[in-house]
Amino acid sequence: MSDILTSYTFMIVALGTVILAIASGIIGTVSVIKGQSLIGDAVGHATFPGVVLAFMLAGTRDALTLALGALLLGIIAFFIIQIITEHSTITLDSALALVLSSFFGLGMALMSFVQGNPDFEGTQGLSDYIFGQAAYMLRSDVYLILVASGLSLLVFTLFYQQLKIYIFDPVYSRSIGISNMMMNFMILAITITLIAVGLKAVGAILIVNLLIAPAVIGQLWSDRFIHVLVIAGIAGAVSAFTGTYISTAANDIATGPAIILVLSAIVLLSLLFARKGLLRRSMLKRKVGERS
Amino acid sequence: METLITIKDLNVAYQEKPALWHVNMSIPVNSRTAIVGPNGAGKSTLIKSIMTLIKPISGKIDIDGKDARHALKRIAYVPQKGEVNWDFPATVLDVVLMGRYVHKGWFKRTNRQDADIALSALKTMKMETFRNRQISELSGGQRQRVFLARAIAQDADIYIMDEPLQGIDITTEKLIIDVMKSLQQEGKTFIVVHHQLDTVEEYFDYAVILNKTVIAEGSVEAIWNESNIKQAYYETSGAHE
Amino acid sequence: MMIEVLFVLIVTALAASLLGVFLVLRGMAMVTDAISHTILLGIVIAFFITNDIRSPWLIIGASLVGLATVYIIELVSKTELIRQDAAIGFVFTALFAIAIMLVSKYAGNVHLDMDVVLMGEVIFAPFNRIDILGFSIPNALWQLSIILLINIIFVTLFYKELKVTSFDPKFAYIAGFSVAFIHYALMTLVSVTAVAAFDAVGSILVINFFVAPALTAYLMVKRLGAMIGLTLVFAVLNSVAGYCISFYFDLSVAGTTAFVALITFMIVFLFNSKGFISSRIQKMQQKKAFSRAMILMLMSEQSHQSLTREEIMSHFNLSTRQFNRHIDHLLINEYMEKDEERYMLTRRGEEFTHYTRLKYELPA
Repeated sequence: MSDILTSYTFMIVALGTVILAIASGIIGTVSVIKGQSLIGDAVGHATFPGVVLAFMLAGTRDALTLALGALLLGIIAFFIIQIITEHSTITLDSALALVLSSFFGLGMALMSFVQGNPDFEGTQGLSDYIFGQAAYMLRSDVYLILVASGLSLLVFTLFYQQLKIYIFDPVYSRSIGISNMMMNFMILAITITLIAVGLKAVGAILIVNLLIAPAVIGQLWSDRFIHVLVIAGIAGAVSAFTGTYISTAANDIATGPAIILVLSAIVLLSLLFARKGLLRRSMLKRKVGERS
Repeated sequence: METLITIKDLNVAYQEKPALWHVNMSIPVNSRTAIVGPNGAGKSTLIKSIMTLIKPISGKIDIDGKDARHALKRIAYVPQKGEVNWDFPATVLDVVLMGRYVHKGWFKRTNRQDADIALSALKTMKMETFRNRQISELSGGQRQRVFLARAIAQDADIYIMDEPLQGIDITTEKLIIDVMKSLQQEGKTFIVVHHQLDTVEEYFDYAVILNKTVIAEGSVEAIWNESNIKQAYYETSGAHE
Repeated sequence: MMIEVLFVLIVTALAASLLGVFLVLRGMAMVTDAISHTILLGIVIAFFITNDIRSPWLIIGASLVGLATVYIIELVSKTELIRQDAAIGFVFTALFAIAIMLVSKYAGNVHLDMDVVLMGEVIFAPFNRIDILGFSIPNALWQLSIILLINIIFVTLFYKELKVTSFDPKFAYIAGFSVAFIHYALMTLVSVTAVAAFDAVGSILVINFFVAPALTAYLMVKRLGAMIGLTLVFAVLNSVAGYCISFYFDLSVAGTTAFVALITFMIVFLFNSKGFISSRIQKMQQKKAFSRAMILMLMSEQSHQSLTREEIMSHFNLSTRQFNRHIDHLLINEYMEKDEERYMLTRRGEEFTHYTRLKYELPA
């Protein structure tokens, strides 16, 4: 066991996934409370063509370049979703499904183009971004995660109080001079950045779980925003570490899915045993005030 | 009476429909002002315009002779129930503390002193024993008390409330009115969108009767009469719902 | 043989989009997306048991997992501890993660190719053939045709029920319709269709074939019957266009078709008669007309009967250009007249303001 814990690969991968999971857990809480959890899913899928495009244009598989491509397409997808929902009667639910699948389709079309074209070399690594290949994470991938997560958390901390008012009570926040547009854009930018750098670790499809599940766990254990954030961060970190360990120990289990499964197990346990969980609730038979 | 807020020629439209038309009015300092009118009369639009949340087509709103934009910090706003995200994990004290953020710079945190101010605001609203309760677990009346406590903690001198008595219990209603009257003694001004016609005389001393434009404005004794109310509620030139 | 690929694509699109109409109307697009991911788990488990990629048990297993997904999501969000969108997000990713793990652990030993299962490639469809009445046709085409037929029968048989339960489930319940039956019957067919479509278009793009044509049609018509018809037209249109483009540029057929569907949608969204651009233009014109009405209305009041250029401009915060455009229009149409430097209403303008007051329900 200690062999694994001290191995270089494990340390690199674990560092990357743990930091990513902490940041995603904390930032994801905002979207979950705002009822926008699935936007992360759509944006996650939409980053795939961005990765392929970046590779086609820059001709490199450099982590930063691909992340920038992912970021760009993620933002475009988000704005298309915004425009569709604001200017038609189509619901967010439908718009998300449409955009995520179409963008993923574009990714597949581009991918088939690249693969069938002798001008492009070294395309194998690109499909790692769909399912994630944490085991192949390089030092540069981890640095990218560290920098992006650090910056995201810094911005989040600096604007913590404004964000809190904005999420809870947007009209009040505007009345005291907070720019809601800026807050919204900030949340979006941070979320998409984390998705873009996290693709290599968990992949475009599963990344949304890192954004949602920790927040769900936090909400089940606490009624206070700050505690929810801390619990979400811890849940993310514990799952990422355990998941990475399991996948390293049992050779042929992919890291991304392993992390998600640990996280899901914690969600399940929390759903049953947490302070606000089902067992506690049925025991106390306390009537929770109506939710409106 | 000294004037606090002056509105001149205010025209507001949502897309192509006028919400407020040619509004001229003033609100006296240290008053309890009711804004009354039928559904769709533009009451919420009026208070949102005062808080500069809405960009008017034309017109001018001054607070103490200066453009309203420069007086936002003096305003404490008590929202309507539907505007708030009830899924937010916040305790009662958290919500009241938000009122203190106005006095903090961009990156400064609330401190012990802010917590004391928040607690005393909760005490005023008789909610101090609920301070660690989750906001979504409260009843409508209790929530309204918490939002008024937040406004008190904000230590503003102008209180703007959007239908604060809508759907709350009678005890809370009495408490809100008592608090309003006692804060008035301290020199505060209240602007309240009000929907009960029968309590205007009891609760307020100044009133604006609105139906897209100002029908009547003045002290409650002077303008609260049947002819003005009728004019606002039953006599528009077009069809009415 | 290549034309068979197109047939498979079209039949898939028709089978999926027919159900998609109701999924869109019921706000179940993302639930369907969740199903289309999790059925992989059913396929994988059934495959491990039967060891046969063609076994009908795969379809049954996958459909059961699909239904289970819907049920779990409902169960979790009914506790009111977790919002529905969050529930969808973590339930499907969790089940999907299990499936991926199983595939990646055992895929080396068996013929369950991850890429094909997830991404699907309709181009391979003609290689698996089956003899029906002496004709050799692709297995996928045969399967999907049967499913299309079942879906058509379902929609025809339960048209009324689907309509009522989609529009107003509470009313439908009170009126005695079995809302739950329709719901689970629909979700079962969605699962079955998704499994069958798997081979052709893969698990991630299935949702596109369900919702994209229906959403495009929804932008244009608001009657259910017309919406279904138009949906099927768009389903065929997208398939044909996607097929041609992908062959010309040698691209993934399913991927290209999915993206073409977004392009079709965006074209309708932008250029449709009620679409983005025409409603923009309409709004701009309304705004212009409104600004002119406001100027006239102001001038109909006692204290503002004659105004100078500067007075009007400062009152409405108009730029010189805006002012000139409005005033020219008002002068030409004889709503107002100019006397030296002052503007006044004409009789016609006076009448116009009366009419406007009525129109906007303003007090006289």
